[in-house]
This record gives sequence, structure tokens and C-alpha cells, in this order.
Amino acid sequence: MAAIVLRNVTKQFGGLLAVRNLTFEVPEGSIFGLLGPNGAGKTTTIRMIVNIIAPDSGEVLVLDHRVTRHFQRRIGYLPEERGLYNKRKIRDQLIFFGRLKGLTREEAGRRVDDWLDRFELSQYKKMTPGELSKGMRHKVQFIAAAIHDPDVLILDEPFSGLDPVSVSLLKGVILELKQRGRTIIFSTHQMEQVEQMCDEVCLINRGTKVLAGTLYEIKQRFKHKSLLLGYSGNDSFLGNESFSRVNKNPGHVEIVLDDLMDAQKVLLRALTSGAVIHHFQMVEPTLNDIFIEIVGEKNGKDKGDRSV
Amino acid sequence: MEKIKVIVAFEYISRVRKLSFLLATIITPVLMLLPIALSLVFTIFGSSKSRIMVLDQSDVPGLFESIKKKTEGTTKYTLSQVVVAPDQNIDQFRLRFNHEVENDSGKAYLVLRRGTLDGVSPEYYASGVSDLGLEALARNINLAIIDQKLAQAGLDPGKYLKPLTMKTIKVSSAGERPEGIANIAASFIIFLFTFFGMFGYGAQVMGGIVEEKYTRIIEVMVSSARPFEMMMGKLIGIGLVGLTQYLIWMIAAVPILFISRSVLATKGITLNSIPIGSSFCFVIYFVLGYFLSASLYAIGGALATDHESGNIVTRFMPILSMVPLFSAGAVIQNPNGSIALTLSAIPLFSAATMVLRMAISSPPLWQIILSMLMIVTAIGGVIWVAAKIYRLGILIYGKKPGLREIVRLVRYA
Repeated sequence: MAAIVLRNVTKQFGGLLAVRNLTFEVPEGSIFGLLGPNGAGKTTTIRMIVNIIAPDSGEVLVLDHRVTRHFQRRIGYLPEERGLYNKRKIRDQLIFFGRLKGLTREEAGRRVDDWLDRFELSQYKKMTPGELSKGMRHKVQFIAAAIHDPDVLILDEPFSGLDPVSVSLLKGVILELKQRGRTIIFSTHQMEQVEQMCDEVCLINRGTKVLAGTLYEIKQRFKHKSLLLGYSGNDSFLGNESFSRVNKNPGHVEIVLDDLMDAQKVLLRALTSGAVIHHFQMVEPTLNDIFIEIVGEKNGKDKGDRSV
Repeated sequence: MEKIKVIVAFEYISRVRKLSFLLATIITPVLMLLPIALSLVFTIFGSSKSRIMVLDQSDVPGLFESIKKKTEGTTKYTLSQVVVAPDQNIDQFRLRFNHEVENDSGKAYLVLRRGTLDGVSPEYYASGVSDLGLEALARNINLAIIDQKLAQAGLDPGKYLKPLTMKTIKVSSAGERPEGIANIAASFIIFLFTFFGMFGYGAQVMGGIVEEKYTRIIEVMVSSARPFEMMMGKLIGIGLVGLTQYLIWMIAAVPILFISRSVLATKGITLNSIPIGSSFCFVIYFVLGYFLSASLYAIGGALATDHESGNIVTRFMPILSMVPLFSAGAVIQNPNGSIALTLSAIPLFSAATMVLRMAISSPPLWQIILSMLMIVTAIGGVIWVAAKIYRLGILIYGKKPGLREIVRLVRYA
């Protein structure tokens, strides 16, 4: 069953077409990544899912319902930035957000304390967001979104501004929510998080879906491999026209191989040309590569239509 | 309903618990009352003693002593005499004193010329001549001269000269009660607290909404509560904060009023008590006035964009709300005059104006009831419009809405 369904959703702001004929489904109990460059329409899409704005046409269903007031209790929403009262105590405002979602004061208080403990923020609960760092505020915001244990959690850029420790802490929390059957959808342009966490993704660009499916499917579709070579000395072997792309860094090189090109042959050529090889690795395309390939300006136009 | 309660409680508790609320509750009255209290104290009790040299060429034995006796102790002045011989040119003599006055603003001198007893005016020289105590000094000189004349005529001044002060008594439906400067000051103070409370807290509603838009909390809230619940929660929550402060001030005013009254009584000044009924009406007017201005400000907040809060409401509300303050003088002069009546008939100005009128006089009961009904009606209308605008306006970001868009919001919301 799909937790979230978008069917032919279109939203226009004045002359700007923010989202165009967007269709996708988020399976229940999965982690879904909504990807796209800045200004692609990710936030607009999310705002339509949580019913902050209505689509001009098309349909948005969450857990088989149109999002109404009575239904909001089952959804949690983390807006992209800010989203906290700057001058009110953290614990107080988290309890407030919990009570707005229908929790009793006692229940909200208990859950807030648990969450603050988990994020190692207990000692700051009497402070105001203005006194905290950006990363801490972000964690507090996450608690505000998740406090009522919603069935569907919608997170707009959940990892932005977090240090690596906090990122892995938050990742753990999200994965645990998934294990408990919750559906999580988040938007991001940080591809590593998506690769490590998402079951499915949808990549949008300029308001249009350009790619969607499970990570496995997508990687299959962009199955051309690349080769990572660490070398020193002569680099004349790189001057081969049959390489479709070469990313050259001092001391090592990443070569995208087309179907005809065998990695062994590249190695052989490098050795015979006099380069000293100290690293040789076959790499699958990362989502980042796929993202850049589709969205990147050079080939954005001609490959932009490729979608499921 | 449940969510309104949650929002009310959150707004109320988080605001009342703030240090700034405590400070505002204490400091506002101090700042407002201090100038009034100081000028009253200076007028009534005198500040530091100031010395006046009396250049006396009057050649009337006992005149200076008589003035001195009447003046010292009841005013802040102490007098010392410099006798000028009848054949000296007193204006020549004055030049030296003028020099001293120029160099020392604290110095002053009085000239009693020849023929003072026959109508030649005394003269007072100082760098500042607007001293409030001078009137008493002039009266004392006059009394001393009359004393002397009565004595010369062989009459006992103590028998013929008993100065009286006039009592002023206000007649109203509530009966007769003494009226005077102290009562006008007290009425004005009551008006000021009510006025600043209702419009100040009204403006806070807008600040709160603008904050929620700026911080995007509004998006989290919209996904949790209905816009109408959000607006009413804010209006009621902040209103209760204002009411709490107003009631604290009212209760604190009771002992202050009581003490001032007994202190002023020793100086022969009467200060009226405020009837319980009027106090009750003040609270009602405060609440009504707050709700009207706050719901107007809520429209202003809902129309504000996240980076700019200027719009048609925020621009005109602060100016409009000053009207009752600027016309307070006219209302005090004639609490039942045409200005007072006109302002009482306009809901936005009516609450503050009626409080001033009730403090200073006794407007007819029908006017009180009618004005309250009119404000309630206006609140109903404004909240109806505000709720519509709030529903869509709170999500306005970026582009500033014009008048046409505002009308569109109300019509289609």
C-alpha cells in the first residue's frame, strides 16, 4: 500500500510553474528521497503533501485520505529552516507542539524529555533556541515534528547544517522509525544520505519528475561503471578518445567507461605507457554521478526526458 | 476549542513568565507616574530651599518681617533683607545683583521700591521666572502690604484678614464631589494605563503573528490547527497577559491612591476615590478596546510578508490609535462635549475615551451601554474579516499584498 500518492499534481505561482504534472507513490513503511537541485520544486511538493498549499490540479493522498484537519495528527512535518520560537524555552515549546497534535500535557512532557535525552540536549531544555547552535536547533525542530509519533514523517532538508555525529544520530533515529513501520519522506540534495538510507527516490528538476524508482533500478539503468586509478609518472594513457568522461585529480583519476571499454585494457595501456599504478578500483555510479549527469547543465536538456 | 485552549495557555504562560513582563509591569507605572509625582511633590512641598535677597527701599517698618513670616515654612523660599537707603539709586544698586544672577542660576532677588505701600509693584529678578511657587510669594507680599495698611488704619489684621481658598465641586448624577487638579491628574493616569495597555497589547498580537511567519512556525501550526483557532488562541492568550498586567496595576493603585489621598488631605487637596462600578467598567472597556485593536492588528500581521511587515494596517493603526491620546485634553476640558461624544461613538476610539470620561465625570448610563454594544459589534465584524484574511494571508510570503488582493482575500476566503 502506498502511504503517499501524488497524481498529476501541478502548482503555479504567478507565471512560475513550480511543479508540473508530478506523479509518484511512496510505499508504506519505506524511506523515500525527494531529490533535486535548488529551486526544483521540492519544498512546494512537500507543502502540498502537508496541505499548507493546495495544488492547482491533480490529487494528493496521504494514507488513502485527502489531508484534512482531523488527519493532520498522523503526519509530522519538519520545515526546511527555522520553525521554532526564538525566545521561548525549548522544552516548553516542544510540549506546546505536542499538545497541538493532541497529546496530553503529561504525555507530551514525557516524550519531550525522552527525545531531548536521546539527542543529548537535556541540559539545554530550559534555554531558548536563540542560545543554541544551528545544529542543536535543527535537532529540536526534528523533535517538534516527530513528538506525536506520526505514521508519516515529512522532512524538508533534515540533514542540512548538522555535524557528522548529529547526522549519524539522526540517521539512526530515522531508520528506527522505519523499522517501526513509519513512512518517512525527505527532501535533500545530499546524495550520500539518500544512498545510505532511501528505499526509493524521485528526482525532480524544474518542477518535473526526471527519474524515479528504487535505488537498485536506477543504478541498473545507469549501469556503466567507472574506474578509479591511482598513479604517478606518465599520464599519456589518459589521452584516449573512447573515455566518455575523465575526472582528473592530482595523483588519481576517475574514468567513466562506456560499454566497449574494458577496465583491464585501460590498466594495460597505463602500464605500458610508463605510469606507476598504486590503486585500481571498479566503482559503481554514485547517485551523485547520476544526479549530476541528469541535472548537470551540459546534458540536462537532452537527457532530461528520461524517466520511468 | 481544545486547540484554542492549548494555544492560549502557551501564549499566556510563556509571556507572563518572561522577565520583560515583570519589568514592564513595574517600570511602566514608574515611568508614567514619575514626572507627574515629581512635579506634584515639587509644587506642594518645595524642592530645595531657595534664597531670595530682598532689596528693600520701601521704608516700611515690619513689612519685610511680615513677608518673611508668611513665606518661610509654607514655601521653599528663605528671604534675607538688604536695606537700601532712600537717597540711593536702587537701579544702580541692582546692576551688581544682576551680575550675580547671571553667574548663578540659583540666585534671585526681590525689589521693594519706595512707595510699595502706595501701589508701586514689587519686582522679582531671576534667571528663571516660571517658578510655580512665585504665585504664593506674590500673594504673601500682597497680604503683608494689606496687613501694614490695616495696622496703619488702626485695625487688627488678624481680625480682618483671613484668606480663604475656593473649593471646586463637581456636580453629576453620582452626586456632588470635590474636583481639582489632583483628580484630573488621577483620571488622566487611569486613562493612560488603559490606553497604552489596550493598544500596546493589540500591537503585540501582530508582532506574534509576524514572528510565526518569519520563523515558519506558521507552517508547522497550519499542519496542526485551523487558522481560526490559531488566531483566536493568540488574541485571547495575549489579551489575558494584558488583562493580568492591568489588574495588577489596578490592585497596586489602591494603596497608592489611599496614601496620596491622606498626604494630599494634609495640604487641603481632596482626591476622590474611584467607585467600584467605574473600576469594573474600566476593565470591560480595557478588554473590549484590546480585542478591537488586536483583531485589526491580526489582519496586519496576516498580511505581512516574512521580510517586511509594512502594509495598510500596520501603517495606519499606530496613527489612528493615537487619536484618543491627542484628544484627551479636549475630553478632560469638556467630558460631555461634542469631541468627547463623537469619539465615544467611534468603536476604535470609544473604549479609551469612555474610560477618561468615566474617570473625570459621570457620563449617562445609556452612553456607556451603547458604546459597549457598538464596540462588541465592531469586534465581531473585524474578527469575521480577520479570520478570512488570516486563513490565506498567513501563508503570504515574499510579495506584498495590495488593497485589491486584500479585498480578493476577504471575498473568496
